[in-house]
Parts: sequence; C-alpha cells; structure tokens
Amino acid sequence: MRRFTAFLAVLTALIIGSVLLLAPGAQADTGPSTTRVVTADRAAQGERVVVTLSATCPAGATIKVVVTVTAANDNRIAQGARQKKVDCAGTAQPIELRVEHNPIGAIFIVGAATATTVRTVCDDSGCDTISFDETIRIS
Amino acid sequence: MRKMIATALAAVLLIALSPAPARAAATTEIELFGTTLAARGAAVDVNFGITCPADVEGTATVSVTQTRDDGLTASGVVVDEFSCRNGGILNIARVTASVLGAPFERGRARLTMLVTGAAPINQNVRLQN
Repeated sequence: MRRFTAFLAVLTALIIGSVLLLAPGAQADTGPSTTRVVTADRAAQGERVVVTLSATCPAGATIKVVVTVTAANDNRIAQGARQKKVDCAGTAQPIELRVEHNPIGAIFIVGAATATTVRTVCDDSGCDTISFDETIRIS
Repeated sequence: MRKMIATALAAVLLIALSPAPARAAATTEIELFGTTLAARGAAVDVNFGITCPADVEGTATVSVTQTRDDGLTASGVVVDEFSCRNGGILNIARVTASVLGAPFERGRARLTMLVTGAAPINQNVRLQN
C-alpha cells in the first residue's frame, strides 16, 4: 500500500509537471509603457521636423523609439524617420528627435501628418515591441 | 499489482488526452467596415473585424493602391500583429502612403488584405474623409 501511495504521488507530480511545461510561454513582461507625440515643429525650411515625445516606461528598463513622420505636400509625400534609445526614468520623460526628410520625397509643410512610433522596451526579462500610430500636426 | 497497472494506464490516458486542445474546423473570417483618409491623405485607416471561432495569433497585411484623378498613383502597405481571442476582435490598420507616390484622395481604391488563417480579400473600396 505504501508503494502504491508513492506511485500515485510520482504520477501526480508528473501530470502537474507536464501541464506546467505545456502552458504557453508568456511574452517578456517589461511592464506598462506609453509614448505620445507632444509637439512636431517644422525646421530648416521643411527639411526637418523636430518631434518631442512623452514616454513612460519602468525605471531600470531601456526604451528605443523609432518615429516615422509622413505628411502630404501637394501631390507628393514627405516622410522621414529617426530613432533614439534612452534609459527609462519610471515617470513621463521627454524624448526629442530630429526627423530629417527622405530626399526622395517632398519637404514637410505645416499641417496634419501621421506619426508611427515603434517602441522597444527592454529589461532583464527580455524586450517588448509595440507600434503606435497617431495623427499629429506639424507647426 | 493489477490495480497499479490500471492506475498507470489511466494516467497514460490522462496525459495523452488532457492538454491537447482539438483544432477547430471553423475558419477565421475578415469583415471590412470602412476606409477613411487621415492626415490630408498621408494615410488611410482601414477598419475591420476578425472573427475567430478558434483563438488565433498572426499578422494582418493590408495594402491600398489608388490611381488618382490626376493619374498619379498612391499606395501603401502595413503589417500589423493581432491576437484574436474569444470569438473576434475589431482592428484599425493605418496604411501610410509610400514616399515614392502621391497622397491618397477621396474616391475609389483597391484594397488587399491577407490575414493569418483567413481567405484573402481583394476588392474595390471608397476612401472617405
């Protein structure tokens, strides 16, 4: 009887182990993070847009942002991208990026534009990548 | 001894049958709700829903191409990740105009969607303000 009990215990352990192993592997959880474009100022006669982001991410982590600004200029498209990596403060922090226009396209003019911000937040447990689109105004 | 063998057999059955969820035969479907211009034609927002009888994770590739009234071409493509659970999700994919082309304008355009597990969509749409 004692042997039987031991056998049952091993069996239970095996089943629980297999269930735990088969549970879907969770994505790295780097905690909550946000980014939002606060201002986008036209500079250098439209060759450039200076974008200020407000970013939040957990203290101790790092955040890399890639900002792409796209705008219409008459019948052409103005577009530029810029990336930056900073250490997270744990509170809302400003990140300034100077987005140069792609010379294939037009220059930036004042008015509505769309901004895509791809943020990669990394800590000891791994990295999370999140993309966010927003309509902004170049002024 | 016989009891032990029976228990062992039961355990083998338990392990073999319990953790493997059957793959449902029902298919994922896409429903298109509308296409609206954003930021003076610099982008198009594509509103769509995905119904998933079985949970599915994957990518949605959305492509919009338009020949404008003035003959110029506007086009763009975006790849979004999605995770569909509990039957369905609503999604907005923002398709940004290619820097090589023109901005999108109101009117007819061609939309192509490829969504993991669903039949592809290729249809004419109206871009609206």
